[in-house]
Amino acid sequence: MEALRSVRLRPRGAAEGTFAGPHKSHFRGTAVEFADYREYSPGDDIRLVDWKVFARTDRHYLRLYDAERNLLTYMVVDKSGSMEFSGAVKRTPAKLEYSARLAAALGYLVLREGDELGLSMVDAQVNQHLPAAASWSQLNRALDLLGNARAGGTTNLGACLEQVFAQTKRRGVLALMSDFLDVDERFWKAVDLFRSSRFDLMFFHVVHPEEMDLPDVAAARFVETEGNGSFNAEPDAVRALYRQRFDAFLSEIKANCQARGCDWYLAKTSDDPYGFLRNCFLARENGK
Amino acid sequence: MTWPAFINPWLLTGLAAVSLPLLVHWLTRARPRRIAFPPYKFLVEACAGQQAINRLRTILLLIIRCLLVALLALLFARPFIKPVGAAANAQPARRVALILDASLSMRAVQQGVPLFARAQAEAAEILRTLPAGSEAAVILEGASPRPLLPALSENIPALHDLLVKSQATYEAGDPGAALTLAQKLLDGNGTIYVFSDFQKSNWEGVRELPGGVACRLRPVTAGAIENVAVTEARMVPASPIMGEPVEVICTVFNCTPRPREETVRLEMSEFNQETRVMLPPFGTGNAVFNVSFSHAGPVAGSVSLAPDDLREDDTRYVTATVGKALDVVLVTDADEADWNSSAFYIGRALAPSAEAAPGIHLLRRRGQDLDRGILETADVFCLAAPATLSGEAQEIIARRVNEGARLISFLDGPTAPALLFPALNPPFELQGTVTSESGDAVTMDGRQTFGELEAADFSTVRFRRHFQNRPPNSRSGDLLLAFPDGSAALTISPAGLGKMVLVNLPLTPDGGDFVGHPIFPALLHELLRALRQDATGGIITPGAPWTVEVPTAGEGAVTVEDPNGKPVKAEILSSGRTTRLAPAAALVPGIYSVKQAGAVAAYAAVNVDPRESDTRPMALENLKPGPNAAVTVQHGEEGEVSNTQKTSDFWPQIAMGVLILIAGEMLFLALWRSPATASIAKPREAGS
Repeated sequence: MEALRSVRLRPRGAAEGTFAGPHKSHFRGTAVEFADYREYSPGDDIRLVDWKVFARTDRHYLRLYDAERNLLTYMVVDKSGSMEFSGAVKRTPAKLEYSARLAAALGYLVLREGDELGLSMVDAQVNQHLPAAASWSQLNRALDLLGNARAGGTTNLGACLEQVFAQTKRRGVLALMSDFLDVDERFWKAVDLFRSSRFDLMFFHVVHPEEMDLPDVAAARFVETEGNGSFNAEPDAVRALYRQRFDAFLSEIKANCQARGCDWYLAKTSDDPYGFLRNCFLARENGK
Repeated sequence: MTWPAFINPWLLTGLAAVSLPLLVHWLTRARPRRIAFPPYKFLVEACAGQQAINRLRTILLLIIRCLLVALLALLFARPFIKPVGAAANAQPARRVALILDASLSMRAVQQGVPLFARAQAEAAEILRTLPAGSEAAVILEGASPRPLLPALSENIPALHDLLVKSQATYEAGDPGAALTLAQKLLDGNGTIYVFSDFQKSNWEGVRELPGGVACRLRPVTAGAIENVAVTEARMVPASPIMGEPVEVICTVFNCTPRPREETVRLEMSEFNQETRVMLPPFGTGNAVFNVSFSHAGPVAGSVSLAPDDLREDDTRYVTATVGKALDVVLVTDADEADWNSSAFYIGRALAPSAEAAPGIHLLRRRGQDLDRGILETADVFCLAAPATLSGEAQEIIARRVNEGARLISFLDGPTAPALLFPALNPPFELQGTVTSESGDAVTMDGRQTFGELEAADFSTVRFRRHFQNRPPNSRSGDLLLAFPDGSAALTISPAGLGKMVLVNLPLTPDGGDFVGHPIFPALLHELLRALRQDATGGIITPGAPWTVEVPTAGEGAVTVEDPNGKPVKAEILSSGRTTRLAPAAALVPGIYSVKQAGAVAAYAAVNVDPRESDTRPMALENLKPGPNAAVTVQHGEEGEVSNTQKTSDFWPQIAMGVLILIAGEMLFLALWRSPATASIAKPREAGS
C-alpha cells in the first residue's frame, strides 16, 4: 500500500458526487467559481437567483458556479469460474484474489480522497451490490464482500453491466476487474451505455501468465472452467498458435476499449497489484 | 472355387495378437494432468485442424499395425489354397505311406535345389491334398528306415510339420527295408509313394516291390548328377611304422559320362600333397601319395576333390596309428646257426640288418622259452618247424590273432601239424608228405596280393616236397600259391581281427632252390606287408554301428568326440591291455577322436558309403511289381494331383503383403510426421 501513498484517482471528466469534494463537477453549485447564468425554473433554489440581473432585466436568472464535487467510483469485480485459475505449474494468486486486491487498493484510494465507493460482484448476474458511500465503514463492507467472494458460475458481463448501470444514480468512474473471456456484443453495448453517460471506464484485464503462454507441461488434459469440454494436448506443440490466438484476443479487447475511450490495463497475476495500480494511475495522469 | 487352408492352423490363434497394437497404443498413450483452463476456447481454436489430422494419422497407423500383426499370424499359419467342391469332397479317405529317400545321394544339388528338398516339397504336397479322414505315414529311408510317427496317423498337420523339419542323412539308403516297413504299416491296403533319386547302387537290390498295395514311384532328379567322388582312401601298410615308407592310396570314381582329370589333395598332419588323376567315364582311378611318418602315435587326414553336385563324397578321411616298431617273434626249436633249418633262412630274410629292414624288431625264441610277456606284446608270430608249443602258448597265440595279431606258420618239418591252429580255422589240413626229386612248380592265383611279385617269378623255382592237402572250394579265396596236385602252397586267411598265413613250402636247401632264390626274402616281406593291411576290412559309415579299440594308458576315462568336438556316447565292450568301445552310430562323416585323460589315443575315420557316390539311376521299368500291386512311375507333379485339386502356397503373397505394410508404415512415418499434438482422448463439444 506504500506504493499508493502518492497517487490519487482523478476522474477524466467532471465529478458528479453527492457532496462537495475535491473534484470538479458539472453541477452548478455554491462553490466559488462562477460558471454561467440560467433562466429560473420552478423548483430552483431561490438563493441562486442573481438579483442584480433581475433588477436590470426584470427577469429571473440563476447564477451557476463550477462546484467541486466528490468522486463516485463503482467497482465491478468478475467472480465467475474462470477467475479461479491460479496456474497449473507456475502458481500465483488466483485471478479473483488478484482482482480483489486491486479492488481493495482502489477502494482505499477512493475513500482516502473522501470520495464515494460502490462495489458489485458479478458473474452471470450481479450477485452482490454495495451502493456507493464515502465512509470508511464502506471500505470495511467492500473488503468483506471481496474477501468472502468465491469464484464460480458462468459469466455474462454485458448483462451485469446493464444491471449496474441501472443501479447507478450518477455518473462517475467504473472500474471493471475481469478476464474478459466471454465479452460479446451485449457487453460492448453496455460499455457504450456507460460511455454515453460520460462514465470514466477503467478496465483491469486480469490474466494469469500461463493463460498467455500455456502451462509448461508435456501433455495436459485441458478442462473448460465454465463448461464441460476437455481434450488432451501437448502445450509445446500448440504454444505458438495459441499465443497468436490469445494475443489477438488481447488486442481485440484493447482496441475496443480504446475506440470507446476506455482505459484498459493488462494485469498479470504474477505482478505486484499495488505497484501495478500505481503505474496505472501514473500513466493515467500522464495521459497515456 | 477355392478357399485357403492352413498348414499350421493352430497358429491362427496368433490373430488374437491383432489387439496388441491397440493395447500398446492404449498403454503408452500420454497420461496428461488435468488442468482447468479458462481460455479453453482459444486452445481449442489453436488445435482445431490438427486434432482431426492427428486422429486420422493415429487411426491409419493403428490400422496398418493391426493388419501387419494379422498378416504375420496368417504367414506363420502357412496358408495354402485348397480346392473345394464336389471333386475334393467326393474323395474317400486314403491310406498312404510316403517314403523319402534320405540317403547321402539326396544331398546332391541340382539347379540350386537339394534333391531332398524337392522330395520334401512333393511329399508335403501329397499330404496337403489328402481328403479328410485319411491316414498317412512318412518314412525316411537311410541305413535303416525311420518312420516320423510310429504308425499311420490321421494327424496330417503334425506329420507335415515333422516332414518339413526332417533332413537328409549321410547314410547309405536301404530302400528294401523302407518298402517293407511301409507295406507293414499299410497292412495291405493303401498306396506307397517313393520320392527318391532311385540310385542303381541302392535299388538294384530291390528284387520286387511290395504286393497288395499301389506303388507310386516319384523320381526327384532333373537329369544326370555330375559327381566325382573319393570312394576309398587307405594306407599301405594300414599300421605304419615310424620311418617306414607308406602309401596313401585313393580311389576316385567318375560318375559322369565324360573322361575327367581331377586334382586330388591329401591333407594330413605333416603332409599337404596334390596329384592329378585321369578318370574314364563311369570308371575309377587311383591316386597314390608317398609319405613317411616321423613320429609315432595316431594320425588323421583327408583326401579331397574339388566340390561338385554332391559335395559330401568329395572328401574321404583316413586315419592310422603309427607304431614305433614291428615286433616279430620267430618261434623255432632249431639252433640259430643251424643252416639246415628253415628258421636260419627265415630269420636272415626277415631282418638281415637294421638298415635293410627298418622298423622290424625280430625276436627269436624256442617254443619252451616263450613267456607270456613276449606273446602278449608281439605283433607278428612266425612259427617255423620244428617248433614245440605249449598248450598255453597256443591258446595265447590263437587269442592274440583273433584280437588282431598276425601269424605265419612255416609248415616244413615234423612238428608242422601242431602249427596249424585249428582254433583259427585254417583253410586246409595236412595229409601225407609228397616228395618229388625233380621238384614241383607252384602256380599263382590271379589276385594282386603282392605288389612286387608276379607269377613269372615263381616259374623257375622248384619245390621237392610239400604236405599234401585239399582246401575246400569255399576257401579257394585264401589260396595264393598251389602245387600241381591241388595242394595249397601258400594261403592267407582272416582269423578273427587278425590274419594267418600258412606256408606249405620247403624252406631248407634240400627242399629246393627256393631259399636261395631272391624271391624268397621278397616273398616274406610281401607277406608281412599283406598281413599288415587292415584286417578289419570294413569302413565306418554314418548310421552304422562301429567299434574302436585303443591301447589302455592309465586309468583316465576313455571318451569319443565327433568331428565338431561334441562328445559321442560310447559303450565300453572290453578293457584290459586295450579298451574296445562301441560308440553310438555316427551322424556325420569325419574324424572322430578317442581320448583318454584328454590326450588323443586314436582316431577313427567315418566315411560315407561309396555306394552313394554312384548316382546313376536305375531303370524303374525293371522293378518288378509285387503280387496284386499296381506300380506307377510319376515324374514331377504329373498324374497324382489334377490341376483342380492342386494346392498352391499362399504364404508368398502374404509375405509380400507384410513387406508392403512394413514399407508402407515406414513411408507413412517418414512422410507424415507427427504434428506433435497428442491424440484426443475424449473429444467433447466445447463448452462456453
